[in-house]
Amino acid sequence: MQKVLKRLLSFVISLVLISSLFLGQTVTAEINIPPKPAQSIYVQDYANVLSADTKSTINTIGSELDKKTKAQIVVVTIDSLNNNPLEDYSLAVLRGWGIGDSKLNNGVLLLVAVQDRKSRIEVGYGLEGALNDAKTGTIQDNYLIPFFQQGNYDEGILNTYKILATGVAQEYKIAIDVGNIKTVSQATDTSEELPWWAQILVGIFFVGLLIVDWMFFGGFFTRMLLIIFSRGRGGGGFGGGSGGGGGSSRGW
Amino acid sequence: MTKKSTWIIVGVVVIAILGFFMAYNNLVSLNEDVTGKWSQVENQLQRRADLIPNLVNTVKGYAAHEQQAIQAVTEARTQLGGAKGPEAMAGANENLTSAISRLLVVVENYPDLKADANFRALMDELAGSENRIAIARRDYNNSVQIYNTKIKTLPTSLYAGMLGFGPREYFKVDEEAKKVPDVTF
Repeated sequence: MQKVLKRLLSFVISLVLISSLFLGQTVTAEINIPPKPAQSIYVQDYANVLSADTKSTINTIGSELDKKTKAQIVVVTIDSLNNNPLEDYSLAVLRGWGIGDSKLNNGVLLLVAVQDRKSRIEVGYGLEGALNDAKTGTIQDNYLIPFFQQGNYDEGILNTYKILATGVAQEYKIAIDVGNIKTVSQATDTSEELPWWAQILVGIFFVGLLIVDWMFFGGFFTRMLLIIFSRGRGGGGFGGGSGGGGGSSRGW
Repeated sequence: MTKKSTWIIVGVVVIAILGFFMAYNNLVSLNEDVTGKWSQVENQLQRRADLIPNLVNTVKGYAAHEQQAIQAVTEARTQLGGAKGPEAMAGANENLTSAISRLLVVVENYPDLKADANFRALMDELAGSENRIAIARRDYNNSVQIYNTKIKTLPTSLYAGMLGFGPREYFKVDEEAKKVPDVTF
């Protein structure tokens, strides 16, 4: 009887605490954006306007820049905005995917809506100095729109990407070669690993903790930890950056 | 009372106290979030206000005799500078938005001005500023909604008032004035 009471109590308490954590966690997802990609994160060509060469060049430049500066420049082409405002859509992608580092907020998104004939460069908080609104407007005027007007999306996007990458590299005072890059460098896993026996010990330790938690606390701490971790990064290559609407829009 | 049940009661009390701490900290951080988002709104409003003198000077260079429209923008900017609190600032900001859009309509008659590189850059900055204000406002209002919902619903509503957590003000905008002036050329 006492055991049942104990379990019931801890269950009720954890339920109250957990629900109080969830209250107010209203997610505002009014715009339907594509799911966060796990591969080829620097270019997502949903409108099918880019050549394989261009995509591989962009991924190469993008990953080099990412490695050196943690800044992420991402190209997304879509057919249609489905009547969503361009600015809202691009911000939803930048924030939703978490482009750029979560502390530096140094993400840049080049969004092209082919059928709507609209483009936008969305800049995260951290790069608003290097790529101010006027600059992103000029970049589109000079390197993007002229090609788009000829129907050459491939060239326009590649050119703009290179200019953006150069601009970001200058901001971080690093050298980046956007001209002669040939192969896609594979991202290497640099995390150091523990020896196998230590991994097993750690594993046993955590299983032990889990058992103790479920036996004596009704799994209260396990649930807490799950909630905390589920709010963090969900894997993938993006860093969790954010922005506040910097950048500029164009049409052609 | 057995020794075992004493320990159970102690455990329950400890968990209840911890729970209270967490709930209180949660309220504090939600409230701080609202404050932080508000300062972001103020920053962005200020950012746009700072663009006005430059805009006015550029327009004057080409269209000096459009006194009325220029004057209206300058006045609206001053008015925004004096406004305090979300509601007053929202109103003053709407006035500035409509004064700017009236000025931009006037500017349509001056092709030389529209072709000016400095003016084009300003238009990008202005459009960017409008967009940032819209986003900062939305972020702020979302944050207020989360906070206000929290303090008005159970179980928080039982103690939020006692701990000094009152509701926060929304940054309200007329649907009419919400339309950002169209500055594409």
